[in-house]
Amino acid sequence: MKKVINITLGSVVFAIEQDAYDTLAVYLDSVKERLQAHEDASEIVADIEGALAEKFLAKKRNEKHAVTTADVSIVVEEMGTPDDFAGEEPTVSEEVEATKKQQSTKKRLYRDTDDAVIAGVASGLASYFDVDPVIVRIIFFVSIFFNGLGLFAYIVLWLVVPKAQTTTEKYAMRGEAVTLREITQRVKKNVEKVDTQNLPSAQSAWSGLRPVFVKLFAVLGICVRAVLKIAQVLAGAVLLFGGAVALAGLVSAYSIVLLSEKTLLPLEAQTAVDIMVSSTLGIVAMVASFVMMTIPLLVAILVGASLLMKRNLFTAAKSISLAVVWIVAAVLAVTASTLQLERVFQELGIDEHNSEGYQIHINVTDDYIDFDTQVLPVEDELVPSLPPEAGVAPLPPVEPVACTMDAKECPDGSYVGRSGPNCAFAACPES
Amino acid sequence: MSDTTHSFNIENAKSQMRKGFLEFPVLLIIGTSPTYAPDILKQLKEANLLVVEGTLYPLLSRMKRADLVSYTWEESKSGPPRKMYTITKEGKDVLAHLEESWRALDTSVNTLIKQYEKGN
Repeated sequence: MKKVINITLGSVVFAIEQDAYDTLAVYLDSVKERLQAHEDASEIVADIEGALAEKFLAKKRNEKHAVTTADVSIVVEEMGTPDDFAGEEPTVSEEVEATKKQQSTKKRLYRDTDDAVIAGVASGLASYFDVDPVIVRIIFFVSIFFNGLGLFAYIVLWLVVPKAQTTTEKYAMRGEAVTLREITQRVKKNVEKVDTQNLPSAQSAWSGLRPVFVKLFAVLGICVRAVLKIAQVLAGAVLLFGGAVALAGLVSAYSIVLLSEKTLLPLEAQTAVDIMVSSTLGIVAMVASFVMMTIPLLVAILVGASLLMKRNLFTAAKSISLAVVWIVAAVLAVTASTLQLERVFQELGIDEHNSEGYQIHINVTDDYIDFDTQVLPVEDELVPSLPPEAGVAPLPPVEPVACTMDAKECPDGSYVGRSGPNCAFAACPES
Repeated sequence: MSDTTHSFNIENAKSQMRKGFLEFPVLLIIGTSPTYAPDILKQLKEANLLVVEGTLYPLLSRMKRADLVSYTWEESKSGPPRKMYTITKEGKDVLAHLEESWRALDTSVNTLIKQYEKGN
């Protein structure tokens, strides 16, 4: 049984067997590598692909025929290996040879099931970090005795790290560039390996159990990956909708504060808003703090969308500009609001030297109550400043007199509100 | 490529002889009439001038860059579109030079061969 994949070669579609595809891909890669010094490398590669396509078409016996490894090796032999090109080509320099040997592809972490005791985690890690697999195995074994850490790490890696299956993946695991020569070497090595594997080994009991474990973990791995995927989607949805709702809430809170009737707010807040809006500094503080709170919500929305779409929506430019704007807004918000709050507290009468009070006028008309608050400077003579030696107990200092807006119904049907300094209800009118 | 050192040296010497020489027969073929790359290959193979086909494509690209040949795309009934190569005016000039120096080489090498055969 062989897996067949579809490829286009010289703009013709071919069905090709998996291993034939691997060989062909390696061949074309090494041709590209050989030609990289050439000015028209991509055009020449296209020419060669076109020529290969014509050859495969000539070999196609019927519509359903898939290109086999045998087809590929015949065609490749006719076309010649990249090394043969060099023999005929006068322009290929020694430098290309030299760079070719040093060049390596980017390493990726895979499980090396060709050299596995359990699932190839240790040998995969060893390839990745360029150390002897035995060392990694010893580390795993020793760390099992630290609360089973090694065992846990091994199981997690087994479930998460993919197995190196195709030839290209096996090369990516070793970080080697794929060339025909290396492929042939590896094939030879594998043949030797098969020979040694046929020898009777002491591991016979384990080798009987191993396939069972491998199957079990393959199934578990699928489950874990599925769960991770679901978790990703859920987290994405929560972040996206949570961020959006929070942003909407923030915007509506700000617009209520700034645009609508202030009667919806508690009295202290009303006054604070009035004072804030009355100066440039206050407006700066409000805008900056709005931006400061909006950006984290935007980030949450973007992270959520990234998780849902399984694609990173953050570009470097986007992240940097968001960060810069946030820092500027945060600094502005903090400094401006500290300065402004000082003024607000002063005006609210926290400062003893410059006290101001409120007068609340309550007009009861027909069915509803209309509160009208004004900040009025307190006349100097109203401030009780009797010296203690006068023998009279000093009156409590005038404290902030912003009182809540509830009202008490009097027996005669009228209403009285609270007023300072203790925010007690005013006395009911005598009947 | 062969494994033994003996035949490898012969192969190497043969390929050294073909190096830098392949342009000439290719120009001759294209100069006769406009030709597709696969047909150029066929003629070269029949004349025993080319071992591996892959060599032709970098060579044609180099000659195209030097303005010795030009190509047009031709649709093909079965398969990818093909490049139809024709010789340029400059290509013809170069071909004339190459022909001249080939005749000179041919004469001198033949003289040497005759001299060698007489000696044995």
